[in-house]
Amino acid sequence: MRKIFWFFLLVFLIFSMIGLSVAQTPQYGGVLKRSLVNDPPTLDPAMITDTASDEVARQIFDGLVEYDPNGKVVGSIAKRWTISKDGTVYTFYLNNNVYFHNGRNVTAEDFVYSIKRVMDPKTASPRASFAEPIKDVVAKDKYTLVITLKRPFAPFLSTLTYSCFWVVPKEEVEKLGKDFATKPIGTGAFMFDEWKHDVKIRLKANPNYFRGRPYVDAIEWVIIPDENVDFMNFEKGQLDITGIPDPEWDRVSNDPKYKPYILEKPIIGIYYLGFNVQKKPLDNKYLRQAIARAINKEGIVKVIRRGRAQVAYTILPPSMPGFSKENYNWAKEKLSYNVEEAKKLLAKAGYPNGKGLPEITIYYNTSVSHKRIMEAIQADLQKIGINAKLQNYDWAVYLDLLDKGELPVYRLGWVADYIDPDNFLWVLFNSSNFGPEGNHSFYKNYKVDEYTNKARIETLWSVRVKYYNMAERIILEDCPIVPIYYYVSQVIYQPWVHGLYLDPLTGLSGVRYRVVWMDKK
Amino acid sequence: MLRYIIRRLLQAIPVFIGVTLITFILFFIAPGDPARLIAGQRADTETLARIRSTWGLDKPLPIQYLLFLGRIVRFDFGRSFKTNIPVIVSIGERLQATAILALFAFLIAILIGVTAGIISAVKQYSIFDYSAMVIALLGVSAPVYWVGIILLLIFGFNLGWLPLGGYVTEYGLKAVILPAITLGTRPAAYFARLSRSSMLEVIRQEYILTARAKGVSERKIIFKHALRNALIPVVTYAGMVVGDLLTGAVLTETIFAWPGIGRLVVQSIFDRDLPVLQGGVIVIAFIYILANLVVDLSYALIDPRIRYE
Repeated sequence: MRKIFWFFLLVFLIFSMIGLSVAQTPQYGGVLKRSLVNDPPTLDPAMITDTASDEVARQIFDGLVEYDPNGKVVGSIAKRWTISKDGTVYTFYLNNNVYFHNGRNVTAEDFVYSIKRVMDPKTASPRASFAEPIKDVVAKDKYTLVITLKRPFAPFLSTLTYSCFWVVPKEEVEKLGKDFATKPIGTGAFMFDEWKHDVKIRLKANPNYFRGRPYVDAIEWVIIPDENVDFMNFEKGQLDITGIPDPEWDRVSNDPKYKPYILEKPIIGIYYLGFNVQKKPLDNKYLRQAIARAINKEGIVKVIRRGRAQVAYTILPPSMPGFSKENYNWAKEKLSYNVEEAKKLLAKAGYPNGKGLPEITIYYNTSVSHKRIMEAIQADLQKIGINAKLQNYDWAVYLDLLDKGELPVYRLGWVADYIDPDNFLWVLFNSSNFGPEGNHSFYKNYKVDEYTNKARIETLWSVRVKYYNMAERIILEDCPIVPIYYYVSQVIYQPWVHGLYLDPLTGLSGVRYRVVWMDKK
Repeated sequence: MLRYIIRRLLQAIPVFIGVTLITFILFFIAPGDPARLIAGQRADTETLARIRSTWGLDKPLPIQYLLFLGRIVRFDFGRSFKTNIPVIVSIGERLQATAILALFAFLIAILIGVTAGIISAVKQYSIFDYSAMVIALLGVSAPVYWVGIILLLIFGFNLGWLPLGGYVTEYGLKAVILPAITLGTRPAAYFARLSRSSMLEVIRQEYILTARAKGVSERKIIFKHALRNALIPVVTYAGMVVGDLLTGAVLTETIFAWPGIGRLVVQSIFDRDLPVLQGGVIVIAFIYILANLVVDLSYALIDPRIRYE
C-alpha cells in the first residue's frame, strides 16, 4: 500500500514538474498591449529627449552597447571592444550578422554616419552635446569602428547606450528626410508597422533580428492621456502592462489578485528641493541646512507618495555605482528631519525662530503631486518659523525662469541619462554648467569642480569613486539641494505576461520587449 | 446672396491677420523658449543656438512674422517644432476626429435638447416639464470630467457594452457614443432651456391665440406657426455650439483618448509649438467665421422676412 502511495506521489510530482516547465517555457505569439500618456514626439534617435519616444524607439533601434538588467554595459551590435591605455581610442568589433529592417547589412560605416549625423549642426540634435567628447569616428574595416576622443572621458562607454548613438541607415534617412521620425527603420527586434497619431503605434516582430526573433508578434501602444482610464483598461484586460495611478495604489497593492504582478525597482533618479545659492538669503549655508533639517521627508514619502519612493539623503541614488554608504549615513545623521536641530541652524544663520528672515517663495511646475509635496514642505518650514509661499508655473515658463536663476527655491527631479556619477555630480554641480546645462543652483565650489573634472578624465574606477565621494560630501554639506526621495519605478502586468524586467536607469521606458513573452494569444 | 457670402468671407482676411498677430505677440511676450523645450531639461548653449537657427527662432520677430505670413499665403503652415510633422497634416488628422465627435454631440444635443424644450413648453408645469428642467439644470452644472468618467465606469467598465476610450478606427462608431453624450450633455441642457423659454414666449403671442380661436389643430399651431419663430434664438445658439464643438473639447478628448484638435492646440501652448498653435488658431477662427455665416444664412430659411443685400 505504502509503495503504491509513493509511486503515485512520484508520478504526480513528475507531471507537476513537466507542467511547470511547459508553463515557464517561453512561447511565441500574441500582441503585447501597452499605453502611453501622449504621442511620442519623434522616433528619430538623433532627436529623442523624452521617455515615450525612447520606449518605442528602443524596440526599433540598437546601438553599439546597451545596459543589461543590472545596469552593466554589455555589447549589442558591438560584440567586443578595446579601450586604449590613455582612454581616448575606443575600438569596436561589430557583429557581422546585423541587418536593417530594409534588409541591408549593418557595417561600421553606418555607425560613422549615425554618429556624425548627431554631431552635424544641420541635424540640430538636442543631444549633440553627448557627442562633444568625440574627435573622430572612422571605419577601420567593414566591421571595425574606431572612435577617438578629444580627451579621456571615463563615462564615454556608458553614454554610448544613449538613444542618439543608435544606428540608422543613411539611405533611408536621406530618402525620408524629416519623415524618418515617423517612419523609422532600424535594426531592432521590432519593425515599425503603423502610427495613427494620438491613437496608437504598432510595431511588428523582426523575423531576422540578429539575436533571434522576439517572442511576441507585435507591440501596440495606445495613447491614453488619463491615468484613471488607463487603469480601467488594464483591469479589463485590454492592456498587458501599465503604471498604477496614486489613488489606486492602496487598493491594488493590497489586493492578492494584483500583488504578485506588481514589479518595483528603484531607478537612478532623485526628486529634490533646490536653492539658488547666489540669491539672498539662500546664499546662507546654515539657512539652507536649517531648511533641509526642517523637511519631514519620511512623512512626504509615507503620506503623500504612499510609500512609492525611497527617502533620499544623498545625491547619488543607492543603485548608482559609486554610491557612498558613508555619505548616506553622514547625511542621514546630520541633515535629516530634526526640528530642534533645524531651529538651532536657523539661529546660527542669523534668524532665530525666523526673526528677520523675509518670506521665501517656493516655486514648482504645475502639477497636483508637486503641489501636495510643496504644501507639506511649506508647513514643515512654518514649524521652525520660516514663512514660505508657493508659486507655480507651467513647465515652459518654469524652465525659462530656472535657467535665468530667477527661482531662489525650486523643486526639480533628475533621472540619469547614463549610469555614471558624472551624470549627477558633474552635470548638476560643476560650475561650468550654470543654468540650462544642469546647475540650476548656480553652485560653485572649487573643490567640487576639481574633483568632478578630474573624475571625468580618470580611467581608474577606484580613483574616480574617491573623487565622487569627496565631491558629494562637500555638496551635501553646502546643501545647494535637499534630496527628498529617490524615484522607484512601479508597474503592474497581467498574469499571462512573462519575462518582464525593469530597466535600472529609467524603469519601464527602458525595457526591451524582445525578452517578454505571453501565454495568452 | 452670393455677393453677401463673398463679402463675409473677404471680411475674414483681416480677422485671420489679427488673430495670428495677437497669437504671435502673446507667444513671444510669454516666458518660455521653444528651443529649450525641444532640447529637454538639460541643454548646452551651443545646442540651443543650433535649434533656434534651424527653426528660424534667431531671426528678428517682425521677420519671423512676415515669413510666417508668406508661408500662409502659399498654404504652408510649416512643421511642428516638437514632432517635425507638417502642421497641415497634424491639423487635418485631428480635425477629422473632431468633426466626427462634434457631429454626433451636436445631433444628441439638438435632438434631445430641442425636443425636451418644446414638450416642456407645450406641457408647461407638467411632471415632464419639471423633470426635464431639473435634468437640464443637472446637465448644465455637471462637470464634463465627472460625466465622462461616470459614463465610462458604467457602460465601459461595469457593463462592458462600449469601449473604454479610443477612436473609431479601432472600435467603429461604438467609440463615439460615450464621448458624444459627454460632450453633448451641456449643450443639450442649454438647448432645452432655451427652446422652452423661446417657445413659451411665442405661444403666448396673439397670432397663436387667433389660430386657436380659428380652430386650427394644436399640432399645426405648434409645428407650423410657433416652432419656426421659436427657433431663431435656438439657431443662433446652435451656431455658437457648432463652433465650440468643432474647435475641440480638451477634457472630453482627454478622458476618451480622442485624437481631436483641442488636445493638439492646448498641448502646443504648453510645448511652445508656435507653428501648430498658429495653424490651430487659423483653423479655429475659420470655423467660427463659417459657423456664424451659416447661422446668418439660415435665418433667411427660417424666417422669409429676412433678406440679405
